[in-house]
Amino acid sequence: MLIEGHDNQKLSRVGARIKSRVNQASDAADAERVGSSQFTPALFYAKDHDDYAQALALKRALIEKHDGKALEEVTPGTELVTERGTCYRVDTEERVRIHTIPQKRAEESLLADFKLLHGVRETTERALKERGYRNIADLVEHDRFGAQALSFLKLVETRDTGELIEWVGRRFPRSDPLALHASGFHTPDQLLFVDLETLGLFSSPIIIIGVAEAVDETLTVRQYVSRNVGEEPAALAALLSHVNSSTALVTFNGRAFDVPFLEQRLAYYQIHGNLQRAHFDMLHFARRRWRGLTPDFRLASLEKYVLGARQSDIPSALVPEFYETYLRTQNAGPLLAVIDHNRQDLIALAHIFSKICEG
Amino acid sequence: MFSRKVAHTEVLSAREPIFAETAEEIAPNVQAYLRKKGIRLYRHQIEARVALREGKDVVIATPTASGKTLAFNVPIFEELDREHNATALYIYPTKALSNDQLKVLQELELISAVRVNPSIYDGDTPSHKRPKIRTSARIVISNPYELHHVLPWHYKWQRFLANLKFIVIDEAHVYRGVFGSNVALLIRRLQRLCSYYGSEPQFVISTATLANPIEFGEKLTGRTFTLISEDGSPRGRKYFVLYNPYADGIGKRSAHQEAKDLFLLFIRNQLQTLCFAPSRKMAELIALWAKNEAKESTPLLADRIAAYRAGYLPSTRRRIEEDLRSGRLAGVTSTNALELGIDIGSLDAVIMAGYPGTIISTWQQAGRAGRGQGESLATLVGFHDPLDQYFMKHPSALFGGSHEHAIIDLSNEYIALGHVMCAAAELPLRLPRDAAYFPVLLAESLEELQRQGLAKDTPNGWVYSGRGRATEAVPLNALSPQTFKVLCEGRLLETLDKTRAYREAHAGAVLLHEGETYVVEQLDLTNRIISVSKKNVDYHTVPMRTVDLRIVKELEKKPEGALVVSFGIVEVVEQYVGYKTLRYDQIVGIESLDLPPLRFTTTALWFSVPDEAVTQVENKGLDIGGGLHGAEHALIAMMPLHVMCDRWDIGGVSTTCHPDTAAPTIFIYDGFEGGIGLAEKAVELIAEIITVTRELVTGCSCDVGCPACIYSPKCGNDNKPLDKQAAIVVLEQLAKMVSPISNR
Repeated sequence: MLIEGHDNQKLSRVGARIKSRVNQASDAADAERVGSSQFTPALFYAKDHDDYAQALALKRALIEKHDGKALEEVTPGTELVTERGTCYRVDTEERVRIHTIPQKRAEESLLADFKLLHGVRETTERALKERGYRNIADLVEHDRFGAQALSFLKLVETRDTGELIEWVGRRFPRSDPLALHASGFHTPDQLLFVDLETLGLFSSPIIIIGVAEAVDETLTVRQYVSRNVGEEPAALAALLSHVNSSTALVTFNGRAFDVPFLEQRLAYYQIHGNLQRAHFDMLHFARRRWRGLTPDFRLASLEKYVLGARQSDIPSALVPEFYETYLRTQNAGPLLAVIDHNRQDLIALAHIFSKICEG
Repeated sequence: MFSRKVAHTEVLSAREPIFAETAEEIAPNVQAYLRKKGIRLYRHQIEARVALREGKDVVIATPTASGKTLAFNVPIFEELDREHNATALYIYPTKALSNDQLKVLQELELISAVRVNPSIYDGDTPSHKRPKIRTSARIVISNPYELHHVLPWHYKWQRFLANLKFIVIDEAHVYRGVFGSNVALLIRRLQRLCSYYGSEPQFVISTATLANPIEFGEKLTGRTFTLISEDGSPRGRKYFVLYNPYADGIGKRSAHQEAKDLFLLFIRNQLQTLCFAPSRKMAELIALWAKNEAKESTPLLADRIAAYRAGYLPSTRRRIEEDLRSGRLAGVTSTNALELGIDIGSLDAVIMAGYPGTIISTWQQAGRAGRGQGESLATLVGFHDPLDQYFMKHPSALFGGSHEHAIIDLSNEYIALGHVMCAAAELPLRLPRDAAYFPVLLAESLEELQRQGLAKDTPNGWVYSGRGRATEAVPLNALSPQTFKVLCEGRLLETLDKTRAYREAHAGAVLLHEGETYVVEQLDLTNRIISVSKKNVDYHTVPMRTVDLRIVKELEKKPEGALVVSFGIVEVVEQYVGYKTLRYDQIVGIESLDLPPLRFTTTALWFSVPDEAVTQVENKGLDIGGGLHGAEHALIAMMPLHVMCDRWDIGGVSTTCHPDTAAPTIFIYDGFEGGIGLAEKAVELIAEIITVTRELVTGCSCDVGCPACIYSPKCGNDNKPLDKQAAIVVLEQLAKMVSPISNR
């Protein structure tokens, strides 16, 4: 006969094992990225003892400081009520002047490059220019390139930035500044800076969806925080409320990470929303702009080079650990650090966008 | 010379084809294909078509080369022709089989003009091709490993899943035991997603002959199946020969040599022959020996002999397959890599060098011989091992015996918990709705996952809340450890897994590759590189190893009547201590090796056999070592039906005095790193297992042992020593101890 409680004991053994396997898988994924340079994993910090020790000291200090305090007490915000439940919204403002590429210049640059047309390379471009074609608009009657030129011209005239980015991306590397020129067709207030904090790399809960919008000289940062895993759908719904037909996304590595991650989470919760739209992924442009000047292309490294170091911050790789500590202890301190980290990332993203557009 | 070693010849009679007419006309497009290929459907193919058209789930269990693929391809193409958005998913256990099936489907598409864009989606599919396949292919061919990692991306497969009409699981008999249980739960996850997107696909299962095809299908998919097993395809007469090199009791030459002799004899007599060998090395050696011998007499023939195995480049394998089909190759030796349905045409003769381990495999391999209605030959060469010898002496065990049961267990906590977690990461799980897919352990698993912080009960359902990718933490099969590269002058020859590297590629080992000999100069464990140089040598090497089992931690001690059964963590330590150099069968040298041991940690049950049993055995003049070993084998044989696994999922060790217990001890352990709950479950059922094992062995009518009692198809020591009478004494004693009466 079964010993009383045996099954529970067995299940907890099985549970403990799967937990360790999940963590192993997560560490292994981190380790794999050590070489790929975009992120800085926990393992890296384990070696880089100072940073890691500092971060842990920060966590301890935060826990001590905020002992017994709920998030609502230590950071002002509002509980957002949506059809998909609640989440916590933290609003802040920052004085940032966002430079954009002037519309006229954007239009000129995009139309000036004949190599955007399929079948045109340097020599053909030179030949066309010699025959008096100044830009793509001049080519609409051309026997061979006319049809293409017309399509492209239409995209420029209708300011279809999403398609323009794709068009440029098909002809040139993703990092080509020409793609960024399409951002000139957007007014600053149409740009939505997005940055996520997540528990894992894929198919795991989102901790914070941070967005920033620029109006005049003010950057409004809104952070939708999941105080527990159940609040994630509300944060997703809140993000969608910022997206309309003229919105363009600005991210750092968002093509590979943030947008697919969001799409997966939207599908997971059966929330309908379309994030396939104009999207300026600054990682690509930053790489080209500052190649060789920074040790790697993490947002934090770039920021350090371009804008100077942050006052206090936690490494991205420790975000899950901080959040799990918050979930376990309900002490607001570690979550506060994550919120602050996300806010600084968004501000840095806006600065980098502005800097690259400024030329 | 050969005939007196023929232990038995079974003649399997020829049979005329049985055709059937279709009540419903076959769609013209598909009809065109059949006409062009000159195909008339056999009865079982028509039956499968009728059942599928009626919306039934079908399991097809007709023999190898009976046209199983066509049986489902015809109705599926008809449906995909009728319904322009309909899709189908074909699941194959290996990439090679997927490639084979792709060719078949492409031809069908081309001739029938039914646009299905058949595409393989697996680990080899380049990422730039993937989006197109997801959005446009109507038949996707994949494997369980890929599927496992694809399911979390289901939203990208919305079109495909929403229109999914058929799921074909070919070579399904591979999915048994622990692997099968994992695949069964993977299928449940897939079904849940299909239902979410609004489809309810029909299932087609194609399998080798099994003892329990309908039950197996139900366990694998949760559906009720119609069985198609009455083969209508024609068959030529087949001679199935049991060939015993040890017929005289001695055996002057090794069974491998004898297999090579038969192989040469057959091909010299214009029989195109496939010889299955038990290992990669034997496949290579038999080919090499046969080539060398042929060179002396008929050099042209030597060029028409080749070896085939995993580890070769795909292009090399394709070439050998093609050369077999075209007849350019007269003889090929192979590992079981050619056992599954890779298209190599049909051959005149098959040789099995040693019993393949299961009746299922034996018939699969024998089925490779038989061209249309011509006569064919299958030969099983018996090894010295008592198990093989038993078949030589008792042919009815092979020809009259039942095929194995394919066992799947949905209630294994280790497996269930992992897949519930994966499912929660794919879509929030809801109770009780999703109990339809996970009828056992769903609520318990979720509660446990919540305790571990891996899932959370939210207003949106149960949500995965772990950090890592859920699927990464759930292996479908035994993990294959790190791979080693074999380099010859900087050129990559092949890759080996760690165990194989230790066993076959230690310094000094002769490594065989495509019939050439290479000598290993260095096995670099740190960088996982094996440096070899090409040298023509006329010897080969055989490693010598010791296996020890060490108790790491006892987790539980369970009294069962008067017997105390322990459960805990053990470490199996495999040490390669040296190697022998052999010229043909002659040992010409022995060298020692200095390699660190291979360690494998798993969970095990163990118990000590009381002194009383030992004394009894010794008083009767029997061998206690053989008794313990025999009892261990018999217990393992009885475990699958009790703990619901495959025999190959578990291992055992018995010893007359174990250092950790200071007593004669039997260990039974899980063949999966970290354990997978098999020994753990056996602890709960130990009284029952011991009781039925005792009944089995005492009731077995054999004299000294047989495959039904104490002979094991996977014994690492060639079933030696074994002592049936001693095993009976041991089991009698154990049974007495666990019976409730002994408590009083």
